[in-house]
Amino acid sequence: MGKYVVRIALCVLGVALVLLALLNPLSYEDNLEINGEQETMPVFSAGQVLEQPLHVPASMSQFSLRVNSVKEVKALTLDVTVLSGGKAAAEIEFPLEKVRTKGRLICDLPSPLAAGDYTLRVEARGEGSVTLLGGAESAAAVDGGSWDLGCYVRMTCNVEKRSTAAVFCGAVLVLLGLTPGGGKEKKHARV
Amino acid sequence: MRVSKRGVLLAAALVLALCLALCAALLVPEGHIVFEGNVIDLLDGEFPVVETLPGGQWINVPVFVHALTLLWGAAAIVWELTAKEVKLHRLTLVLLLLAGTMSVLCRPALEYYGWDEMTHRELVYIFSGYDRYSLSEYVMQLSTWFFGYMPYTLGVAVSNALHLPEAVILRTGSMVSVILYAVMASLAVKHTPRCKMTFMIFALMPTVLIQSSYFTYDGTVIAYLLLAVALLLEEMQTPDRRLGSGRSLALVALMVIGTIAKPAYSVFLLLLWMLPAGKFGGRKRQTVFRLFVLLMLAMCLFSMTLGTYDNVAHGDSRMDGANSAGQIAHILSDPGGFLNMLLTYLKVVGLSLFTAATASWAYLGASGDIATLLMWMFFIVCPLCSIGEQRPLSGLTARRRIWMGVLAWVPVLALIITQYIVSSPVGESVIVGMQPRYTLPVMVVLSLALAWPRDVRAKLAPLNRPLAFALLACSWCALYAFVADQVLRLYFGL
Repeated sequence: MGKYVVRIALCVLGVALVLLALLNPLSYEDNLEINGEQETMPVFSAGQVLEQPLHVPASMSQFSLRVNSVKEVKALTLDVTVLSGGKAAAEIEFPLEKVRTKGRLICDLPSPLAAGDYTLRVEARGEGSVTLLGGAESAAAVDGGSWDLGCYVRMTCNVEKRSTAAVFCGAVLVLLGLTPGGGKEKKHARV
Repeated sequence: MRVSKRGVLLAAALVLALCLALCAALLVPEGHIVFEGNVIDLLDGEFPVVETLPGGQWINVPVFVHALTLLWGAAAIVWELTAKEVKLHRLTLVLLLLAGTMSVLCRPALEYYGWDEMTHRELVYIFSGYDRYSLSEYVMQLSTWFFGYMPYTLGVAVSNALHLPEAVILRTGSMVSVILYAVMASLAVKHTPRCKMTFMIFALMPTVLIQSSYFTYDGTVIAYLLLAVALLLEEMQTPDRRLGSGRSLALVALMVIGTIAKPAYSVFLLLLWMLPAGKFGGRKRQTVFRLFVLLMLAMCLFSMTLGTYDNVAHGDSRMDGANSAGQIAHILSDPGGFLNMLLTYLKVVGLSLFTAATASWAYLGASGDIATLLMWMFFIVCPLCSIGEQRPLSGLTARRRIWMGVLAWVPVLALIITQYIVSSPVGESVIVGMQPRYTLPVMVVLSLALAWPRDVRAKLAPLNRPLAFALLACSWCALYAFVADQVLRLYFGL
């Protein structure tokens, strides 16, 4: 038993590390890139419909629209829909009149969207036009800056990540614990 | 266990020297960070001299202790080499602890030498919990580099738990690394049945010791590999004795944990294929062991895809014009030209990589003459000395030497090509970024592959002691020239 202590310890340590990594995912909020690498989207007027692919890298439980200075487009309403195979997986109506100078409307989805590829559809109705900002980083720029471009759509997803490296390190330790030896020495006959 | 009077006296002297060094460390300024990773400043010769001890003092204690440990080391060499039974591993431990302690304690702790060390420190701080993170954040930041930083992490975590000042925390991390390195190197010298002097002189090389005393995983990689190779040689000495469970675990674990932080060297796992069939209870067991070794090698190589190299994989941002995809396209467009450039590089720079590796690191280093002397001494003279060896080794056949030689070049070539892809500007006709110290982990294996035949060594056996004395005297002086260079010149302005 004694000579296996180190092996057992390595295996236990390895399994513990794997469990630690699997049971302690890191959760954080991440913004999605919805307009390729471009931060500014085209001017968006009432009656227009915008459709573009949306890649959701992790489970998404909510999405939001944020508005920055919409004094002149109070009569505009945005309908944002996330389509999966032509069907609406999630939709939100965003009347800009409800928003004062700045605002953010968060929509909790009835059930989380699984990671995958979707289509984002934004339809404007009413009167006026806005410039949508779509870059994943644009949110931060607008939040902290003096942008006065109108309104931007920010898709936010809650990411749950597990450390692959930690699982890997655990697996290495377990494997080391299982290192094969050369076998037992031959027993010599007693004289 | 019988302890000799000589050993007790040597240990007492060592403890006294370490205590004095600790006292001296209290007088060394902590320093401060005067630049943040601006390598250009260093290249321009603006070394971070932070504080010079006030002049006019009747004695400069750190410098005095420095000189004292130099003399102690010299005395230990003479003492050990005049003993009836020479125990090189004991001497290795003493010398490494003396020089390592001075290197760690007699320099300002808060200084660092550019981008590399800054990155290493940050990671050690993360792994040791110095920076507060939630459990999930901590687990998310774990990587295979953790294995390379284990001694530093341990030192920093313990001293941080004791709420010690930052300068002490940093010194503790480095000290744990130096102690681990000294113990590993000493064990390697003890266990290797052949070329003990090669192992010892390598362990005493200035760059190797200095790397262990700074925050970097390179010292750990070298320490683990050194012991693994020594244990492998020991096993090959007894081809008919089965490979024990503990020994097989030690061999594989040292290779894997030692090299996974730098997977280019994981190819040394294939050295384990040299274990003869008699070490295993049948062909089947040998095949299973070899397949397992292959699996572990694959794991080590796969670890490179887990994100640790993401920030340089597309091209090292520190180098102007570096772009991996562009460079690969350039190589594929003219493979003949690339091969020609590679061969020219090896012809022109190849040897100087090994020379510079012995005594130059991070813009620090003793003179080029010392480095050249060390390199030739290591490859040519060291293998001639068979002091401390019980019996000649039978396991290093010509075939195995070739295998060792080939394996020693694989990491070097892989790193040269990688540096060309990652760090050199696209289409550049020279290779940029290949640092001499990258050759250090392969040097012992290469030296064993090139070692003199047994007959030559046997003829020179009567000269073992004078040869050993000359080698150790040169090595100790070179090591101190390096340590003194960084301590006395850089920090005390002498």
